[in-house]
Amino acid sequence: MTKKILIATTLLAVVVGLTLFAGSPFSGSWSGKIVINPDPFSFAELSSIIAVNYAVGGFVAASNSEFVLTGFIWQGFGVTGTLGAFNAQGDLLFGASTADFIYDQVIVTTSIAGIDFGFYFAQLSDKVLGGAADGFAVRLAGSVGVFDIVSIMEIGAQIEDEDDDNFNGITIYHASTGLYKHYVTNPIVVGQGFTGEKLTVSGWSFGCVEDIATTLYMTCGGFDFIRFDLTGIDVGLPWLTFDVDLTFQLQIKSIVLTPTLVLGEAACIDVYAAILTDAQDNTIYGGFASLTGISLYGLGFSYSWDGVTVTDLTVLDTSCYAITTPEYGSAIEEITEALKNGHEFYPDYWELISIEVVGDGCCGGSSTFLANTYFNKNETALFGWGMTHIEATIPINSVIFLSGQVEVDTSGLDHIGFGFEVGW
Amino acid sequence: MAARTRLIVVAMLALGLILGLTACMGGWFTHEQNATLIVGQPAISGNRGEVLISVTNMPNQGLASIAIDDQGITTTNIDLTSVQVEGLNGFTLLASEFVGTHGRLTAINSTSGSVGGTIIKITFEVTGANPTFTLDKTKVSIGSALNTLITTWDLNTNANYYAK
Repeated sequence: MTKKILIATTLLAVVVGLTLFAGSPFSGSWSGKIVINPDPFSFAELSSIIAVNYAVGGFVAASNSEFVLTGFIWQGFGVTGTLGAFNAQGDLLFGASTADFIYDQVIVTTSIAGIDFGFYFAQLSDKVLGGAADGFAVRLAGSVGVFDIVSIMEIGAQIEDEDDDNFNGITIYHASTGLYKHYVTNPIVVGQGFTGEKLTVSGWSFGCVEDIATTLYMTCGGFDFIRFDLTGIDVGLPWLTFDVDLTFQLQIKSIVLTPTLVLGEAACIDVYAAILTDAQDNTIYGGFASLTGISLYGLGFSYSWDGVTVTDLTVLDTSCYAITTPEYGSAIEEITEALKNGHEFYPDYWELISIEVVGDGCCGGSSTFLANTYFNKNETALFGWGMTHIEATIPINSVIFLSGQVEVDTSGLDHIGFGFEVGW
Repeated sequence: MAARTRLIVVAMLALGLILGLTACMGGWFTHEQNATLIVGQPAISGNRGEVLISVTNMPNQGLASIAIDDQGITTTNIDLTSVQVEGLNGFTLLASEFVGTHGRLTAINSTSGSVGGTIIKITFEVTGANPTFTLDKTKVSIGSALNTLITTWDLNTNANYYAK
């Protein structure tokens, strides 16, 4: 009993002490979560993330510590700020469980006379499989008339490009737990030297084409590829457009057409539909040149009033589409896209009925309540019910939040969890 | 201040140009040299343990199938009657068997391949200190999303970190 009182008092003192940081150069948050599997009893998750920010002279320094059930996994440090015309960002990552340096990056950007300059530098430790690597890249971007021009010179590093699957930044995994960190600067080479130049010109449109972009990529081995992306080609049908990706490599030319179904504004029910082709990925290339139909793969309905939102999502084609978990927005997403984007999803649930309530807390902040009920394609329970997920967040004051969640499926209570977040 | 800013920008560009003109002085070794199947170190909490099987740099649109033959898995200090296998990130377990100190399993991803990331989670109860979970590479077959066997790959059982 004495121990419990001591622990509770200590926690209270820490929480109150942290809130006293308000108004000082220090800010941050501490969040923790515990998830329990009742049968057999085990901890499914025990995590704690502490973020401490210190602001001085236009810069904010941050420390981010990540703990899970099996130990202290990541210790990250970051700094962001502005110095004159320059914006700077630095990140430093350590593997705490092995006491290893893992990765660092420095990004400096500025804009002068309409030209954006960016300098990206990163190092990867030899403690990471395949490391060590280091390098940097220089990015220049600007406009000439209607054209947008971006030049990226790679000196041993690549920069993430959200529009190009070949340039994904870097994701570093902890092999034992699967926890990962993602950064935009991907060092790829040991030592220094020119490794690539990517030049993109976009913004040109004419007649039936919404946008034309050209990307030329050279490596230290010479020409790698040139690609022409034509977006939103109007074929005269109000419900159909095409995107064209024409790529020339040294000994290969490839062309891929992606048909897009253009649906009007939904008045009530959202319809999820796509054009089908005879290719598995529903594009047109090589010998796959037929439009085979239209797939109606999902339906959605959502209505909000007075802080209450009711949503219903139905997946009609569960072989290719799924509903993402609440953490990833509870949306219908193509499975291949979800996997590519690292979004978690429920492969077996075909329908979601959700009620979300957001209200004012008693002492500042907002309280939230979410109840999601899923229906399973493989279950024979009443109405095919599969699982119900309930979570709620309650503010104690404007900076302290408590949360809880529970999941019940056809085999009973699956797990129960509690969490807290303190900001200061 | 403006003159100083311009000077720094020019210096940065000059530095980039000089290094660029050194063309390929660095080696051409990326941190994703080989396709690799990674068996993580067992993560132990109390009497429960967990092993993750991951991949990185898998070719041909990524790994989409894995078959570990009989006795391809060898364990120590693990209660194999308690083993549970779960496919991750689109992978589905087709079959698994764990008897004595050995095991086998088969899993596929029917929608796409995994170029990098976790694919299988194995949870179990431990029966002693320092449990081990190892694979025999000669009894492991992996296939790509293009329905071709991936024949050139490494097995890694001691990496703490990997990247994609």
